[in-house]
Amino acid sequence: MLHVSSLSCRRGSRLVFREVGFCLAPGALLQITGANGSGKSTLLRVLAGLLSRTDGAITWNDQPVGNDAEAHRARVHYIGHLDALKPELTGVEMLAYWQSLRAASAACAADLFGIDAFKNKPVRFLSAGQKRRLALSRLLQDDAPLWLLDEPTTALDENGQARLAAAIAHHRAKGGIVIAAVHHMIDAPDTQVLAMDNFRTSPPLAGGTEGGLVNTSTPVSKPHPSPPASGVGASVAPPGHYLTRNFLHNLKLHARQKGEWASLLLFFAIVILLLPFALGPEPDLLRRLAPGLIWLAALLMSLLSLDKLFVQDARDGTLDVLLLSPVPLPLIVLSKLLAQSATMLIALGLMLLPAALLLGMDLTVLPVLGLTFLLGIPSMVLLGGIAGSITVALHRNPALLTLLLVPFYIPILIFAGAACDAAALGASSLPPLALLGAMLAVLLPTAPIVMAAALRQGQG
Amino acid sequence: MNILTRFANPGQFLKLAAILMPICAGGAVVSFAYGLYYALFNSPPDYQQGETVRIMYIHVPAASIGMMLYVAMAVAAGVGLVARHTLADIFCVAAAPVGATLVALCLITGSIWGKPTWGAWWVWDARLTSVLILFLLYCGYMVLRHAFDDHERGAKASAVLLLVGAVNIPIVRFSVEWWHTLHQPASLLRAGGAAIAPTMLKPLLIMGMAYGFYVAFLIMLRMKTLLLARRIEAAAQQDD
Repeated sequence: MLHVSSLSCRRGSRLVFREVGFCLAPGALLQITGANGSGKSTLLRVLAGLLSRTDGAITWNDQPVGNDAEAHRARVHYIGHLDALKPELTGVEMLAYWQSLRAASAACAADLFGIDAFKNKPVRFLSAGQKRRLALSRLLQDDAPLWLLDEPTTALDENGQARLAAAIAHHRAKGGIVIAAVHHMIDAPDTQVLAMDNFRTSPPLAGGTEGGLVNTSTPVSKPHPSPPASGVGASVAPPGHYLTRNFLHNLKLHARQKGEWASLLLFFAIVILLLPFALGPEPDLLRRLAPGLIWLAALLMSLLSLDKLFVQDARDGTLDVLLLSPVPLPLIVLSKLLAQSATMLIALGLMLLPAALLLGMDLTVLPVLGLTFLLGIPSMVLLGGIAGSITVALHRNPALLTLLLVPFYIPILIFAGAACDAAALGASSLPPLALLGAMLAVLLPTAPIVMAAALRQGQG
Repeated sequence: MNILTRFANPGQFLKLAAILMPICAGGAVVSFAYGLYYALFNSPPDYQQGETVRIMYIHVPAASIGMMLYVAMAVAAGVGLVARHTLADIFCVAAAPVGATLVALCLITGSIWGKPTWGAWWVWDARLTSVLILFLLYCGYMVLRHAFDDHERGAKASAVLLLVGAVNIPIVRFSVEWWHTLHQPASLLRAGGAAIAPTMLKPLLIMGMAYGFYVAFLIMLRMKTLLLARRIEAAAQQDD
């Protein structure tokens, strides 16, 4: 039972909607209509918990949903405008990934959306409608009772629309609740309608209850053989399980994005190649500066790669899926950043020897340089993740990210340089390496928590 | 707690500021006049540095207050995150440009002093470098804070940055000192262990007081302006 009363939402200085209220029993379907910009999507995002409400109350079985945000995320499936698909992965891989983000798995073998024909193809070969069907398949992953659908029929053909209607009917028959923002009403019995255009204007619609809820039919009185449990049947997996699966997924994604990583490596190589032209070709000078120059090139490369951390996810809708996953967000973020670090390390590892040879570096320093990368690059990625999570909501100013990060990168650069210098002089490079390790040890547990908090609040 | 909540009430703050602002303004005028006269005309030149030592009276208070302000902002940010008082954010927004200006003033005057004394406008000294990084932290905070249209979100995001930055300051300080001792032979003029002469200490303390009064006045003025601006914004929203 979902109960919403006098809900208001303000975005910046704009009042998007106010005094929205409705009550949905198990098996109910609520269709939200309204012109573009009338606040349908905002309402759905507030109900999902992606945006905070300004006023009002949302309760599920008489419990305010804010009391246990994790339980609410487990009971919600939200399908937004964006399909949250990665063009490089296949449908099967996307489904497996989404499955790993849900706490419970109720393997629904039935191909309700007709994706079997194309689910082994990479997403970039799919049509808009096929992508939509794939995204809708998320609904079947587990028995989350509350479906929030934002214009779910977009790009769907008639067959797809019929399949969606059937899936909704099936979900309702099981006692689930569906709320959909629509422009063309989904054909279904016992449907309730909320007209967003009308709740703000003074003359209420005929038959409209307070808050603009218009009942076009009697409230649902279906038999509910199995009312949905408030929390999804918990088959709790150990945290390490999510961590590994997410990590492997991200690694696979990076492996498919070979082109992007190759261009980053090319950038690294070009910086290394250009440095002798700027500094002069004296071998002694280059040998002495080589570790620092390689680190500088790596730092510039990592700044360029930060864009991949959260901005891409925010753009394709993946971020919403991550935020609404019942899996703890710090774990998801940590696995993502570890994968990013691993890819960076592999890429840099490939270039390390050629770069060292080009600059005529003392090869006895190479192992220490490698160690500083191993300890320093993950710290840099974690710090970049913090800055990225703070600025992801802004997505307009990449220079800002650099400005925020520079003061935090300086100690890493200093300790890495000190370790290499010590090695070149034949002294012990253990102290600076230990300090690099200490920074990483502090960042590993704390940075994901900061990032998760920043990502959540960045949504409003 | 009572004191905190009472201070954090914007109305109470405005009342308090109405009393304190004239006092600070008066204190600043008097102590600047006295301190500047003392520092520029009535104190001896240094036996080594000559007249350039007078830059110190502008430079040192700017440096110390500039650093203290960042710490105060970080504390306010922490309180703001925990207690959700808007006044904490308003304090940070008000103090940031003041602190950044002080740090910039410190860097500029230090540079002017460095040219005749060290023979260079800038040396990569540990202290100079960490002050430069502090300046970058101030800039980062201001740019981030103003990138948000929504006050509440901007306040939270930039408070996180302030706190992470405050944790970073000792690390920067330590690493830069290490870096400096590693790379730079001790070629610089060292201040030496000799204590500062009382004839110089007195104007320095008066100048410190003057800076303190002036900065307090400036921040309260800015906070008051920001509070009123937000009230106007809120009123405009009500009319929508």
